[in-house]
Amino acid sequence: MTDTKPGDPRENMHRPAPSRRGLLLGGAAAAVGAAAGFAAAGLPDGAKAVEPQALPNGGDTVAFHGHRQPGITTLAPAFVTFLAMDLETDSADGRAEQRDLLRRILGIISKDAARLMAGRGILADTDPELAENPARLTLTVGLGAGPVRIVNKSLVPDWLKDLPAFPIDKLEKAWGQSDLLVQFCGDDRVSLLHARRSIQKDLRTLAKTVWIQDGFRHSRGSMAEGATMRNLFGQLDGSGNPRDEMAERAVWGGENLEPWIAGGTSLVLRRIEMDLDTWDAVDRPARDFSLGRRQDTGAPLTGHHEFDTPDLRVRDDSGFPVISADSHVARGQAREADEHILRRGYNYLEGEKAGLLFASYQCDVQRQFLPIQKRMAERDMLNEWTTPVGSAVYAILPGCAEGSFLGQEMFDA
Amino acid sequence: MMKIRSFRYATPLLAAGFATALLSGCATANPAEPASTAKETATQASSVQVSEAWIKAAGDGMTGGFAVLENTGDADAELVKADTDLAGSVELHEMAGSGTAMTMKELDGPLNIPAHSTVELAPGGNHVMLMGLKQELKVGESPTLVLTFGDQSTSEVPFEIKSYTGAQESYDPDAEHSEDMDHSGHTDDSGHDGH
Repeated sequence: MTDTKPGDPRENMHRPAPSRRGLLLGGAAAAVGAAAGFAAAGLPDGAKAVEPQALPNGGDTVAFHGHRQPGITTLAPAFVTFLAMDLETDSADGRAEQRDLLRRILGIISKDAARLMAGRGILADTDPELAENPARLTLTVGLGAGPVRIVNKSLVPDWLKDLPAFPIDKLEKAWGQSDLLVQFCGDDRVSLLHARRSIQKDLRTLAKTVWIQDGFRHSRGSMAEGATMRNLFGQLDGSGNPRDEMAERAVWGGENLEPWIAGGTSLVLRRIEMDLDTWDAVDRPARDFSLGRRQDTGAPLTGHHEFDTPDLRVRDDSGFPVISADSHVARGQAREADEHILRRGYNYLEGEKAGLLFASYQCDVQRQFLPIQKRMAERDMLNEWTTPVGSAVYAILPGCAEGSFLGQEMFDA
Repeated sequence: MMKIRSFRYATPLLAAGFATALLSGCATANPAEPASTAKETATQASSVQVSEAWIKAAGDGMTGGFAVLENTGDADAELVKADTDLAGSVELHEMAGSGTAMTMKELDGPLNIPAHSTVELAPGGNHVMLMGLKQELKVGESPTLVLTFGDQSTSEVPFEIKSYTGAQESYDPDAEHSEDMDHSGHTDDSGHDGH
């Protein structure tokens, strides 16, 4: 961790030293006990934590506490599950009751997240064994406009509302806006889904589940760390993501680009169905032309490498632009300095339905995301094979310090 | 008998030894100190670390409280009672019977927490019973319970209120009246706990 700099996706990563690993992997009672302050009482005398074979990834953890929430600029692990919930508020409830409800919800999630991400079951967990391999588990929490308004009307950013309707959309209400979103990411689906269920169990009387969206990327170790993922069209997805200082500004803001709250950001989550069957019929040249990049290397048609900057001015021998003005890359290219977003999408494949959970993080939806989205909705050759079916926008809370909870500064403001 | 034992722990001699052991390696430990001072340094409350404390959410009536009690000291400790304004009365309960047919009853005496060991108050086992709730115990709140130990030392412990569908042990008040009958069986159970 010493060789990382701020903003490096690995800055919060922790790979346990062998002794720690031994402890973590040395059996349920020992692992939970050590973390929770249990003694080894109840264990037969010989049942000490044994030094197991080193497992490659299960014990890796990401720190929960900090100025910003994890799971955003953190390297994306193999799996995601997005959990959308609505607060169980009664119309008869006053504002004080609603505030209190939200405060309790955020308190519970914060306590649970800290434990789950460290590889511990939640308090009163019936199945703490399922939490033992956190495998880079992260929980990231966002709010819709309703809950932010409950706490402090003046904090609701202009962009925290439904995106305008686009002609390409065929939105299904089932994947629509919710009060609360928890993004769970991790490399082990067992601990990942246990984490999701733990939150649902703990909030069962406070919030109801609206939808759950599961996604996947390449398995850990099957690609270089941080390599761009491939979507189910075979394309490298996210090659144009901002890096380093540009990513820092795009997600967290800076001069003349203010986040809705210090340490906060925003998430646009769109469920984009991809028609794999009709895409099958598209030949490679047409695919590359529609995208503006080569499907194999991800290089722009005007370049040689994935991260070369697409040059829209380059023309072929006949005088036509090499990268079509209607290609995905051309439509997505920034027209203004701050039109950058951090895509952290995941594939989904459920029965015959396939697509992309398009997750975009940016400081300001209005200034950064919407201009790009509008251009693509107007004209983007890829639209022929893609259909947005779900859309939601969330204000992502700042991180929290130990002893505090996510969103506490909203209540103090 | 339990009461006699708890009395014994409060005697100066034992309390002093207790303190020495607990603070071994610490410069302030001094077995020659007046017993009262030593007792303050190492009460049962200070030796017993309470963690993982929670209460099952409930609107009214009764509910259970749970925690992990780790005695880091060299002398046995006893949990005598738990108190909170939230309930009309609070008792320490144990589970009797086996399998799915377990019922709970008030503990026959305090809960023993042997030296260097951990005792769990858990669903399906020993627990704190809050009866006659005076207000709703809302998920996500953390009321404080006062735990009193055998030497009358106390710990204030926040218990997190959790939504929990288990811990549905039926309370069998009759079991208290048949205590004498159950007593031998109860003693056997205690023996198992000591393994």
